[in-house]
Amino acid sequence: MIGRCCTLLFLLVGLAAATPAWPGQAVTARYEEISGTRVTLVVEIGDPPPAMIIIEQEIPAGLTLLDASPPFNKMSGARSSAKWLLKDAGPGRQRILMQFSGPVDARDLRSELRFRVRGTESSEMITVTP
Amino acid sequence: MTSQQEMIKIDGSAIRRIREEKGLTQLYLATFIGVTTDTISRWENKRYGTVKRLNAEKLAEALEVEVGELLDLTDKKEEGMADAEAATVEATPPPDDAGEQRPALSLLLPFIALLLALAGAGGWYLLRGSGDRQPAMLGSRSFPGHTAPNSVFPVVLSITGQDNEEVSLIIREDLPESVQPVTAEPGFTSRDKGTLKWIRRTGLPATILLLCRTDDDAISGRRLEFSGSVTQKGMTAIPVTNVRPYLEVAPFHWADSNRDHQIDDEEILSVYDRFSGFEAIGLDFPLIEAVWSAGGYRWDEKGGKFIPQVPAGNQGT
Repeated sequence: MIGRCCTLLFLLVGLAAATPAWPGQAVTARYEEISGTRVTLVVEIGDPPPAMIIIEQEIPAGLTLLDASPPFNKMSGARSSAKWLLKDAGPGRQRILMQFSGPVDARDLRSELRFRVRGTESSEMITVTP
Repeated sequence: MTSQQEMIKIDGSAIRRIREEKGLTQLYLATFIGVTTDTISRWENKRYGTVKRLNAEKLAEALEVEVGELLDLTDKKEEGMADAEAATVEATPPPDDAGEQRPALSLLLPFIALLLALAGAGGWYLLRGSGDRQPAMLGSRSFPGHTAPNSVFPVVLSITGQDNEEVSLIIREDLPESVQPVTAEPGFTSRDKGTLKWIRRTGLPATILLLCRTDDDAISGRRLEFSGSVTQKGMTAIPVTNVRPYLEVAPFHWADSNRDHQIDDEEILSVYDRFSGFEAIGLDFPLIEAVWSAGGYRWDEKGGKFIPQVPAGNQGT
């Protein structure tokens, strides 16, 4: 019985994780993996997708962003945040993989996503924390 | 008293000459007036010497001349004789010319008019209560608040009306002095100096992206004003209204809307939101991204270009 419940729970969690941003919600994001020096941010893009999404990842104090995939497009002057431009990304899932110079404390992670929902003249911003 | 049904004698060679001088095609005239290219050809080749005054007025409007410039003043004969002569040239006129030249048909005209009146009344009866079927059309033009000399900037023409309705449009755009067209999507149908025209059958809403370039001698501070109109077949032309009154020549990139020598997140989001999908026609996306990435730019007046650069306060960090 407990096994069946676990299986059902696993399936539900799996389905929820695989569901892209629902109609009317243009973009959502969450940290998928925080393991040692590696961090993965997952961005779910709804339909219709925004023409561009700007992702700004704060760099935890004392650390350096050594590598990222896709590569970041901009590092702030004080090297306290990195930015990505996601252009013409279709509906679905985008992963941002980051490699830091030292172990990352989840409590220090924070990112912001900015975009415009098509047909509107205003920008939206969402904040992502673990 | 002038009637639109009145027949007037036209000079076909003058029509051809003016059309060719303005670089217009017979198709353009035919679409504008609402006749076939065969009819335009017949008018130009003098196979039909007279046309309805209404068509002559439309012809003059399409050619941007006065009606008087299209009249054949050399022959003062009775128009009926000219019509009779034209009638002998061609035995079977095309449908859109029928009724325009044949004196034999003049006997039938009262009956045709009666039939048309009855059909019109029937149509009105059937359509009454179903609302106004003419689309309420609006044309608007948006462009940046400023652009630098010798720089490319976008102009967006938006035509809105009853959604998804297919309409035949003639869109006319009069560019200010010191502004040249670079390209457009969709491409314009004709160009006469600073006047561009599109003839399109399109669904609504319709959007035209026009890329323009300011002359390199455009004086900083000069205000450039745009104007134009959109005409739906059979309807009066309506002016295309401007979202802002003028475009100012200034040493700032057009995407830097607040003129702070940066293209920030809001500004680049706005650019992509509005112009994504038009990359292929040459909008300067790479420069905009380079400026955004660098954090700033400067205007190189001698070179006539923008140079991305890290803002002074951020250098060395």
